[in-house]
Formats: sequence, structure tokens, C-alpha cells
Amino acid sequence: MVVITPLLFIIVLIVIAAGAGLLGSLVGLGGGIVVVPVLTLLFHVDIRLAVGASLVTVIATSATGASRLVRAGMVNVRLALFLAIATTLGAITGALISRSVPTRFLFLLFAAILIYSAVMMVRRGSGEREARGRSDAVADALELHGEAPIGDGGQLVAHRVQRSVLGLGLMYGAGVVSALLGIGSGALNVPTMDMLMGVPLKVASATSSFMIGMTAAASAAVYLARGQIDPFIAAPIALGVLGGATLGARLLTRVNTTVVRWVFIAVLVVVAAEMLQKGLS
Amino acid sequence: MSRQPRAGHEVGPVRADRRVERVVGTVLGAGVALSMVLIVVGLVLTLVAHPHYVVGPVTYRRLVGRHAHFPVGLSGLVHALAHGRGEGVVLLGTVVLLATPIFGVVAALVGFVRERVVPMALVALAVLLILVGAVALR
Repeated sequence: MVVITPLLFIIVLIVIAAGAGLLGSLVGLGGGIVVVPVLTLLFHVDIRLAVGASLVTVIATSATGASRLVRAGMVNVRLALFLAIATTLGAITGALISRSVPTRFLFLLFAAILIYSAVMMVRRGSGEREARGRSDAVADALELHGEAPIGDGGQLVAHRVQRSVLGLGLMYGAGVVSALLGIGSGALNVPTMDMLMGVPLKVASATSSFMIGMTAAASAAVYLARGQIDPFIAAPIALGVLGGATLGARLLTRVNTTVVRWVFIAVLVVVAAEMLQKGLS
Repeated sequence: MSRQPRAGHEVGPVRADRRVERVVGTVLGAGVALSMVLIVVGLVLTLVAHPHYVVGPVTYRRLVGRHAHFPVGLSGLVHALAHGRGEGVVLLGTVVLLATPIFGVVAALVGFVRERVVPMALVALAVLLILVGAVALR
């Protein structure tokens, strides 16, 4: 029987977190999707501590990726801040009700949301994007429309934001889910911005990575005050994620949209199966 | 499918946003870098102070769980730092990391105020107030 010393534990966490960070920043998801199952299933860590550590991971992924993506002009900062009003309020709500909501129900609900997102992503791949944006008074007033270097050779391509108020409502729910499950809400943010609000996938992914940090900071603050964030678990994971996320952010501006989308769909399906299994077991 | 490009008079706001973005990106990167340095230093200090964490026979369970030998929460942070423990430095790094997105919002707020983009400054202020409120919550 091998004794897992604290040092070995730290090293294993760093390695696993590096993989999670790479994937996370590529698709705009936090690494939390990998962290919670690894901590609870492999190391039998208390689920509440796993969620806390996962939120730290999510922030590390977000801040690292967003730092680079914001400077590269890939993030629609105005839209991110606007939607963060809803995600942070949702995250606080989620953290406060986390003790009284049956987790089984949440896992099943989230699995359903993920499967729905994956199906919508597959269908969108074959279909035409809505050519003409709807008018949106809120988006016009705040000038939420943006442009990003996503064209051939890094040319600026403009996008118009639509359905901003509906997006705000959905983002509140994404914040609640993020806080309850300790994951970045990228799986909900990206499809909402991409398919509903008229934001190109790469910009939606980058904007989501900026929003995720603000969302997770709101719930992590509540969990920290409750002593649910164990730095011995959280810190090594954050370190590992840093390496992976830096690499992922470098790749994001280069890989083509089709690849990003299919990686994203694959992740959604895998996570959905994971959540379903947890909800049913 | 290409979209309607921005009108010429919007070049100004776009350029102002670029300046805000540079500051926000720099602040986020600096926050992460600082927290990582603190975490690495803290982990090294912790392992040096407890050689049996490296060679055994102590397992990681000792540091994981409800009764872990590790400071938790803000009161634990103050206590551990006051006693010069490496664990306190690790926790400090973690707290800096958790606060980094908040620093990013502050940077955006200052940026939009300086560029006189009032509506977005108000949006950033709203997000900041919510985040500060979360810190104050129990």
C-alpha cells in the first residue's frame, strides 16, 4: 500500500490541474468540471471542500486566460461586465442556498442543460447563423456591440449584441449553477452568447472566460468566510491550472472555430454523462 | 457572414475601450502572478517546516478535511500569518487569487471613469458593489 504523502498529493494535483486548465481555457470552461470528480472520487475529499477548491481553480483559469484574451481584444468587456451583474447575483444566491438544495436534483438538471447545449451546438454547426440582428435598445444604449480580431489574418470583425435582457436572465441561472456545483458557468455562458445573443463563438468563449472569474469570486467569497476553502487543496490545483491555461489561451487565437466547437461538444457530452451518473447513483 | 461594420464616429469609443482593456488585462495578470509566487513560497515553507510531509509516514489526509491541520477562513489567515507559518502564506496567496477578479472590476471601473464612459462605469460599479457585498456576507 503506497502512502500518499502531502508532497505526492501536491504533485498529483498539479499534474491533473494542468490538463484541466488547458482544456478549460480552450473552450471557455473552468477546470472545475474535472477537479470536483477527481477530488471526490479519487481522493475522497469532502464535496464541500472540493467545490471550494474548484472555485479557486475556476478563478485561476479565468484570470489567466482573460488577462491575455482581454489584451488581445478578444473579449467584449462591456458585455462581460453587463452580464456579470446577473452572474454574480446568481452566484451569491447559489452559495447561500447550497446547503438546502438536494444535490441529486441539481446534477440531473445540469446534465439536462449540458445535453441540450451540446445538441444545439451540433445543430448550429450545420445551419446558418441569423444574418440580421434584432434591434436591442439596452445593447444600443450601453454600446455593448463589439469587434474582435477573428477574421482572416486577425482582421477586426464586428458583431451586434441582441436579446441582452433575456441573456441577463439566463446568466443569473448560470451564476446559481456555478456556485452550487463549483464549476465555471462557461457551458451555459457560451451557448447563450453564441446562439442567442449574436456573439461569434470565439468572442463568446473569450468573454465567458472573463465573466467566469467574477462569478466564481462572488461565491468563493461566501465559501471562504465559511471555511470551505482549504488552501492545501486549492493552491496546488491553482498552480497546475496556471500552466495549462496559459498554453490554452495561446492556442485559442490560432485554432479554427470548427475544432473549438467540436472539442466543446465532446466536453459537454462527457460532463453530461458524469453528472447523470452522479444524479442517478 | 460579415456584419455591418461600426460607423466612423465610433472609432473614439473603440480606442477608449482598448485602453481600458490593456489595464484590466494587466491587473488580472499581476494578481495571478502575485498569488502564484505567494503559493509557491508558502508551500515550500510548509514542507521545509514539516519534513515528514515529504518522506512520510504522514498522509495527505492530515491536511484535507474538516479537521485539517491547515488554517481556513479569514480568521485562520490572520492567526497563521501572525505565527509566521508557511500555511498562512499559502492561504494569503489563495485569497489574493480569489480577489483578482475583483481587482479586474476595479480596473475597469477606473478605466471607464477616466474615459468618461458613464453608463459602463455605472455597470462596473454595480458589479463591484455586488462582489464587495459577497465578501461581507456570511
